[in-house]
Amino acid sequence: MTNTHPSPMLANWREIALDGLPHDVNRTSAAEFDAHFADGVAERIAEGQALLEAQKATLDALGSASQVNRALRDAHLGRWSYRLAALLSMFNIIALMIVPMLHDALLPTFTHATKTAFLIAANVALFIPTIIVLNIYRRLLEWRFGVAGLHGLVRVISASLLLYLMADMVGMALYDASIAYFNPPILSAETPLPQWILSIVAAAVLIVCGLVLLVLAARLLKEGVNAAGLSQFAAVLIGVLGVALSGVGVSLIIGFQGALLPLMALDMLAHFLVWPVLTLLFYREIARPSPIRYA
Amino acid sequence: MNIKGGLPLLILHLLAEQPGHGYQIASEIKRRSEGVLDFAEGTLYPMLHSLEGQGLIEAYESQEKGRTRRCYRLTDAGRKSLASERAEWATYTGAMNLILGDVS
Repeated sequence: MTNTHPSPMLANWREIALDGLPHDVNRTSAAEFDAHFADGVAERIAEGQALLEAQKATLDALGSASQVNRALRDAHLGRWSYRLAALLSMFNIIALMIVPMLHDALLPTFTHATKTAFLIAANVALFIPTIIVLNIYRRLLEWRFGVAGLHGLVRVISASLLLYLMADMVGMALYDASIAYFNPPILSAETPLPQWILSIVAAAVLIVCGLVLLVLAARLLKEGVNAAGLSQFAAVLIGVLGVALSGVGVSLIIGFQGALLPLMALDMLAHFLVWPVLTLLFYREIARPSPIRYA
Repeated sequence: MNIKGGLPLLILHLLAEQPGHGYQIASEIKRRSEGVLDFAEGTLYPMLHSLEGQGLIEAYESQEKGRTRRCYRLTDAGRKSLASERAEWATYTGAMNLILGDVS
């Protein structure tokens, strides 16, 4: 079935159109394109065109190889990718509910170091699926909706989230782990260093990370990595994270702990809004009742 | 004129009339629309594969001019989907005509 010697004119087009697809899809689709090309050329020659002219016209009729590649990826790789993203989004919702409960159960019995290690592990366990979901969301936008140039934007968002996570971890390591769950942030009594040093270091890390996020948000707004308003939306989210981190840092220095509670609540609210929406979005893309749309 | 989201409906309709391969489907759409409905023919194959993945059509191999061709035919699920989508299309175009009136 496979034609291993396509026309040289078709070969380049085919290479782009079939790039990155599973072997069996590659083989089947290559045969289909070869046959389509052969039929198109034969029909045009029968109408009186010269061979080269007929080949060029048939290739033009096939359209953009990159567009076909995106559509083939969506058809063959999209389904499992979107299912994985839906499952990971659901996992994040469940983890967000279970982690505080586990933490509270561990609170009375374990040391600060153990609780901190648990929270860091939980954050990493949430961060990895987040990055995977983010990349699958990029694929969905590229493959199905043809939104281009999202790689840079996803890299900026991933770096911002990593920075936010690192600042959060430093805060948790230097402060009592209960800071994460609306309890008063009490400096750990187990740490040998003076508490004011811990406080300054934690505040400095939070403020610096927050400022870096604000710079990233400003650059994103100014340069605009892509169209469709996604850069602006991401810039606003990253900016909010930056303000939150810097705000927590400043509140540690001036001793105003009241700012922590609304910031933490905002963080949790964002999680509980984002993950259910993403779960529904990806399930909708998997189980669309019909592929037919009129607009 | 770009087909936009209407391509799957046209594919299901043509395959309900007669099974066929991609080139036949593309040629039929252009011939019957007298060249008005235009689309990148390469994008027909991802759409065919997607419909196959959803169980609305199925692929089979057929011999044509000494070559093995991958052809497609409608499944029972595809027939039901086509009936439902045609009804929806009729409602949609009927509503548009009520607003636009006779524009021909």
